[in-house]
Amino acid sequence: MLRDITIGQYLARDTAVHRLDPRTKIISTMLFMVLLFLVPHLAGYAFLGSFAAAVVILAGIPPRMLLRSIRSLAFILTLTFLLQLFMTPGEPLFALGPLVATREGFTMGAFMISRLTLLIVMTSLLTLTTSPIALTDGLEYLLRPFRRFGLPAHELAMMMTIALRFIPTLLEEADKIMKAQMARGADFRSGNLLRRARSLIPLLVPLFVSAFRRADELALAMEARCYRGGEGRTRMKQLAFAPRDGIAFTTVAAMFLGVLFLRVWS
Amino acid sequence: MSILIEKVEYTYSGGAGSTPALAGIDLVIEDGEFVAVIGPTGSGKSTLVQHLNGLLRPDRGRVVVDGVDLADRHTNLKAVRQKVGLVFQYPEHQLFEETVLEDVAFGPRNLGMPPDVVSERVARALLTVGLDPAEIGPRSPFALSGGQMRRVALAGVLAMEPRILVLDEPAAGLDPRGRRDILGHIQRLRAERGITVILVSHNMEEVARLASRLVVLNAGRVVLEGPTREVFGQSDLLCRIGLGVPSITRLAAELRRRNLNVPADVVTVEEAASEILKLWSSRSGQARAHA
Repeated sequence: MLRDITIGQYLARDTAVHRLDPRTKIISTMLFMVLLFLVPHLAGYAFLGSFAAAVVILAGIPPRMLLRSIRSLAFILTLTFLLQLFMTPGEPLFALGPLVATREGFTMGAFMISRLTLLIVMTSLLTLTTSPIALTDGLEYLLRPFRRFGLPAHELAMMMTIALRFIPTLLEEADKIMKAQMARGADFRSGNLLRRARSLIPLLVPLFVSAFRRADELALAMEARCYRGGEGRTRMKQLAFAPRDGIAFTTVAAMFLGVLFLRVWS
Repeated sequence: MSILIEKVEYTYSGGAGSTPALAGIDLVIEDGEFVAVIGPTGSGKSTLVQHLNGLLRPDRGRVVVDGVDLADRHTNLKAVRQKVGLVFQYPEHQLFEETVLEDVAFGPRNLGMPPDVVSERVARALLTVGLDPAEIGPRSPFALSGGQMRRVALAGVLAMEPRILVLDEPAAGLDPRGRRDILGHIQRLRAERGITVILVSHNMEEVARLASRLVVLNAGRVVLEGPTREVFGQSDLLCRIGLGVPSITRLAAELRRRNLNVPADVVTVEEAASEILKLWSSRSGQARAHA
């Protein structure tokens, strides 16, 4: 159920993908996301999809885990597809009452589904193969040039790590509270939209209370270890690029150029 | 109102590995029993109790409560949850309403009871856990002490008036007085209404004092089961899986080792005291006879 969302989870393994520098992985993921919106036709998605599949295999991530996280967003995917299918004007394919499905709509829908699915897979891959600490280090490093414009790079990175770190914890907590309320006869699954929204109150209030309590405890624990922001902070593990990062960058850059070429050419 | 658990297996999906949380559990709990479930952390206690009101469905096997199979798709789970009240660990974390009265009313209201019945049940449940509905009722549950919050949460389940009460570590994290209070209320409730109680606990002294039967879980299986005394007689096995026996049972064993004739199955301090006194007076009687 709620636990099936994999965003923000880390799966410790010792693979080439895991060992990549976090900066490489962040930049590559970002480039990949841009690519997803540049690809001109479905064949391009097949290509990006096979690249994603190759990374999944290389990183030793059980495909079942990713499938589960896609399945938990199946509703949004289906809705997007149907909206595109029926709302795009063009050559009619078939009609369902007043709704007319179009060929263009079908193509657009397929585009959106491929995009969203690959987006979920790649972002999940980033967090699955990069420990939260490495991820923040990378982010902080990448944000550093913006410090001169007043961007609190360290603080932002710290906030992101904490947020990522607490996603699974809060999901688990939500699962527990949900069960506790179900034991008291709560029903989260039936009724109309308004009733369902209202049925979330018994879940959300305790969840917020516990999030604040955790935040308080965490702040105390950090202060007890003399945390006082990024000023003059040194690190135990310095980030360093290795040859494998070069290979990764080259691959992604080649893909990028390839897609750009495809786009201009077609 | 008995519970029948037959060959129940359950594995959590995803996460680390696929070791089953429950690997074939067979258990019968009779009407009116006070059963304690003990076992080391990760032995499947919490998973097991969540099967008792259909929050989890077994992968294999079945759970039958009062003749109703919980795995059946047509079973009305709400009705089952009214019969089987489940109090989770740290239940105060589920409080959400603006007032104590409203929060305790959540359960009975979900069961679709008319307002006058709801308020009657709320008042009764609060009194059962030793809280005055007139005084505590209008207050915010978040403004109470930890022990009071715990009792309000317990009242939230009791207001559904279940015939079977399942408690997962109800006294965890409370001070000794809070522990005594909450366990006392449970004990009294059972004495007054004859309900079935299933208690999950790590505290051997508590279990020895309250339960008539023990079920020991380890790695998703029932490794030992029987009357409290008999189970605590197996101190070797209990220690091997990371549990123990009440300190007083250990003391009795030590006394026996020193050739003092104390029964081995002593589990509470009161029992031990009377046994030792008996021994003492018979000895001093002998001493006088010698003189």
